[in-house]
Amino acid sequence: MNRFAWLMRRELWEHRAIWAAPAIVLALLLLGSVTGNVFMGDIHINADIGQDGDGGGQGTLSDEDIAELESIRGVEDLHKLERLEKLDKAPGQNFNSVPAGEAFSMLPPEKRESVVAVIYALVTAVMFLVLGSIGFFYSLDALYSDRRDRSILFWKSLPLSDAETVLAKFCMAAAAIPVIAAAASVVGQLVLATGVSLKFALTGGEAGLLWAPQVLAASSLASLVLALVCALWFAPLVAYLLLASSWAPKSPFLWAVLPPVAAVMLEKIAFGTKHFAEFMQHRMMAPFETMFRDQNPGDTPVAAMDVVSNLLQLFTSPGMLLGLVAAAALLAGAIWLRRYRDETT
Amino acid sequence: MSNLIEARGLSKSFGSTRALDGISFSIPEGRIVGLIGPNGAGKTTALKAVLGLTRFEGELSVLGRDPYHKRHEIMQDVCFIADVAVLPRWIRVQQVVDFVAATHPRFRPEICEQFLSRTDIKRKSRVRELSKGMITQLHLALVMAIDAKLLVLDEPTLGLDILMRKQFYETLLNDYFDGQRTILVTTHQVEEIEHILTDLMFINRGRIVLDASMEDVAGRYVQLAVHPDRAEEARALKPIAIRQGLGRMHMVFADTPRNELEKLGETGVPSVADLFVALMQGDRS
Repeated sequence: MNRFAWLMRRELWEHRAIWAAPAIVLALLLLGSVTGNVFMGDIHINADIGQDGDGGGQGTLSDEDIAELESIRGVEDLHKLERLEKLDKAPGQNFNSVPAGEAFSMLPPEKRESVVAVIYALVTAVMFLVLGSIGFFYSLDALYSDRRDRSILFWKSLPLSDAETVLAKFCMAAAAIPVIAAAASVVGQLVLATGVSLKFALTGGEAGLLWAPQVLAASSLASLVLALVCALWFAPLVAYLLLASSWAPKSPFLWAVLPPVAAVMLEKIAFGTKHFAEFMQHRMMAPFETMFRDQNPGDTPVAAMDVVSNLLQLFTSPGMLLGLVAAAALLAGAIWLRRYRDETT
Repeated sequence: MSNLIEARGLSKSFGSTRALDGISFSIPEGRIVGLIGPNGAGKTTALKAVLGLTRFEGELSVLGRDPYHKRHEIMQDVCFIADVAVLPRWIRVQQVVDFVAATHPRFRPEICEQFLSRTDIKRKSRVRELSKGMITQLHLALVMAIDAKLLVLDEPTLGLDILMRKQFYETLLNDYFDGQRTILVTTHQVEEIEHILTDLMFINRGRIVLDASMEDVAGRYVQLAVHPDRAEEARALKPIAIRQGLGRMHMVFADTPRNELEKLGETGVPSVADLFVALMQGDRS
C-alpha cells in the first residue's frame, strides 16, 4: 500500500463515522425490513401511482409519483396503498385490511416496479443524506482538530508533505465519501430486497417481490453516477470547507458558514438583490434538482435511466468546469495555510 | 566533520518582541546539545525554525537544506518530540506504529517492537487510554526506531515523574545515541541532562549567552566555595555570581586563574544550573 493510501486509511481510523454510520443504517434497514417496520407512519397517497403517463412499465415514475411515494412510510402500509387504490376506483366502499405481502402482490407488475424503484431511491437518498452530513462535518474538522489538540506537531514530524496530507483529506471528502454513499446505497437496496422478501415469505406473500433486477441495476447505476456527479460538483464546497478548517483559529463551522451568510445579507441590504443566495443554492442543490428533471414534461415520467442522463448533463455544464477551477484554487489556499500557518502560539 | 545545523543571523519577531535576535551557531555531527534558557527566551522558536515550522529571517541550514521550504525532505533525517501531549489521542498503538512504518523510509519496525515489548503498552489501546509516562515511552519507541541524523527534543519529559524522566534519558543515551547522531534538547530540568550533554547553549532574550562544549565550560568556569572571612579577597577577583551557602559563599568565576582561586577555598566545576543562574544574572544587569 502506498503512502497516499495510508493517509486515506488514517482518516478512516480517525473519523469512524464515515464507515460506521452507513453500517448502522444498513443494520437498521435489515432489522426494519425483516420486522416490517422500515418506515413508520401514515401514507398520504392519491393512488394514481403509475397511472399517469405510460403506467410505469419500465419502473418509470413521474415527479408527482416520486413526491407521493416519498411519503410512503411503511411496507406494512402497502396494504393501505392498495386500499386507497380500490377506494379510488370504488369510492365509499370499506375494505378489511390485508397482509402487506398479499397487498403488494395484488399490485400489477409495472406498479410494483414503480414502487420498488421509489423504495430504492429512498434508500439512496437516506445514504447520501447521511454521508453528505458526515462529509460536511468531516471537512470542517479535517485540518482543525489536530491543530486544536497539537497533534499536528506529530504529523509534521513525519516526512509527509502538507500537499499530500491535504489532498488525502480532500479525496476522502470529495471522492471516497460519495463512493461509500453509492456503495452503501447499492448494498442497502440488496439488504432491503432480501429483508422484505424474507418478511413476505414468512407472513404469506410472494417472496422475492422486491427483486426487480432491471430496477436494481438501473438504480445502482444511478447511485454510482450520482456519486461521480457529487464528487465533482461538490469539490469546490469541500475545498472551501477545508480552507475554513485550515484557517479557523476557533470554530471552523462559524468561519465557514458566516461569510456566505454575511455576503447574502449584505447583498440584500446594499442592492436588494439575491444573486449570491441563488448562486449558493444552485451550487448546493443542482445535482438533486437536475436528477428528477423531466426532459419531456407531460408525456414521459422520469425513469432511473433518465436520472442518469440528467446527471450526465451536469458534466458538460459550465458550472462544473468553473467549480473545479475554484476547487483547485481553494485547495491551494488550504495547502498553503497548512504549510505556512505558524502554530507557535 | 560537517555541521548538521548552521545558523547565521537568525531572527524572528512576534509583533514588537524579538524572540530571536540575530543568533548564529553551528552544531556538528555527533553532539548532544542542551539549549537552555528561561521561559520566553526563544528556545522553542529556535527549535521550530530548525524544524521548518516557523518563518524566520537570516540564514539557516539543516542538513544542507532550508528547513522552512523543505520541511518534509529534512524530516527523513530529523525526528522530534515536542512534548508528551502531541500524539493524537484517538489513535491506537498498533495504528500509529503501522502508520509511521508505512510513511517513514527510515523506520525499523523490529526496533520499535523490541522497545515496546519492554513496556506494559497494549497494542490495542488508544493513546488517550495510556498514562502520560506510557505515551512518552510510545513516542520514544517510535523515534528510536527511526534511523535519523538529528533528534530534536523540546521539553520531552514535561509532566513526567522523576523515575520516568531518568528512564527517558537513560534509554536515549544507551539505546539511541551512537556517537554519530546529533541530539538537540531543551528542558527546564537541567540537572537531569547535564551528565549526558556534550555541548551547552544558553539563550536569553533571543540572544546566545553561552555556546561551548562541556570541556570548555569545565576549563573556563570555576566554582569556589569560600569561607566568609576570605570573601573580600575572592570578591576582588570579580566573580560573575555570588550565592550565600551554609557557612560558605559560593562564587562562580570565569577565566580566572585556577591556582589563585585554590588558595581561597575549595574549587570545582559549577553545575549547569549554577552556571545558568550566574550567567542569566550577569546578562540581566
